[in-house]
Amino acid sequence: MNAHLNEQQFGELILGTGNGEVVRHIETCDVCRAEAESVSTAISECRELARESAERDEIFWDRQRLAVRQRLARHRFVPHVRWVAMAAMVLVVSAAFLLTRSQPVQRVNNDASDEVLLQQVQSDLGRDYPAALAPAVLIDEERNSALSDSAKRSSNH
Amino acid sequence: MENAQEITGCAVADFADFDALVLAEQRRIYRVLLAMLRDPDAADSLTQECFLKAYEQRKRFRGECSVRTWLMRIAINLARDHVKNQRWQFWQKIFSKPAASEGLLDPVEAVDPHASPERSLLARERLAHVSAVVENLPNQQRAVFVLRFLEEMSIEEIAQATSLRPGTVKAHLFRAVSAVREHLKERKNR
Repeated sequence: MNAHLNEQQFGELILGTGNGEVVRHIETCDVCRAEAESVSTAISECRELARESAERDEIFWDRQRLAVRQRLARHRFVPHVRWVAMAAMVLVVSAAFLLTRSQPVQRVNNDASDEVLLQQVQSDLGRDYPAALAPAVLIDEERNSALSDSAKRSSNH
Repeated sequence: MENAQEITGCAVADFADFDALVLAEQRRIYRVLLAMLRDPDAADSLTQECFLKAYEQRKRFRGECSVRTWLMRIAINLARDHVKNQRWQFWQKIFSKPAASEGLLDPVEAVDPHASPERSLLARERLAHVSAVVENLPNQQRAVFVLRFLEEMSIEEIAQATSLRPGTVKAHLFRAVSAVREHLKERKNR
């Protein structure tokens, strides 16, 4: 290999997956070797830098864990609330359904009772006396018949 | 901690000790999210979100990869969604120089404080340049670069975490390495 490493070969070398040809080239080519060393050093410096930049004190990590724990607790609670809300909604809907269904039935009964009442009023109006005085009328009729019987008996004698 | 490491290394997750899992993986997830988003607050919030999602989806985990890789996949998806949702902020950050305290790669902080002033200056310059290259990589390339070179994950693990094919992962890595190489070359020629 006379030419320098291309992008892919150089990449393979940095990734550590270069084949024998790439490795042999690096052994003989000072330019590519220097470049590879430079890139590898830059990447490892980058790695160190990223790790140091992300370093936080223990308080930060403890606070983060606590936040996760609290959010998880809320998260676990929410489904229960959802179920309770759903059950309440089902209850409300079924109650509303039952109420709306039972109202016409009651209305029919009311209509029927109104009709009965009207018939009763009509029959009451048709009577000679109010229904409440029926026992008195009955007693009066009994008395009258008893009186007429005794009058008949006395006339026969 | 030992228990947590066993959990994360296993293919089949034991979520009984979820707190141990958080303890074992929170630093790594945070580091990757910080490297991808360059926003410490977002990285913190998405790290928490990552564990919540993992807990929610624990029944869907089939054990095709390790818990560690699975968690990384969740984190990467969250980062991707975050960038999509805040695209204008993302572009703002791409075109503006990140603040020293906010940046993922802060060369001033990272240089050895005991080194000589000259050496420190050179190291800072070099790191600033490499950081700039990494930060300006396209999203997917940066994610793959971070997972491979900063987190030292294998190509297969990266493919599982990013839902890319191993060949695509490699292609992204070659381009990222090429960008770093070109940048170093340019700097040397200046």
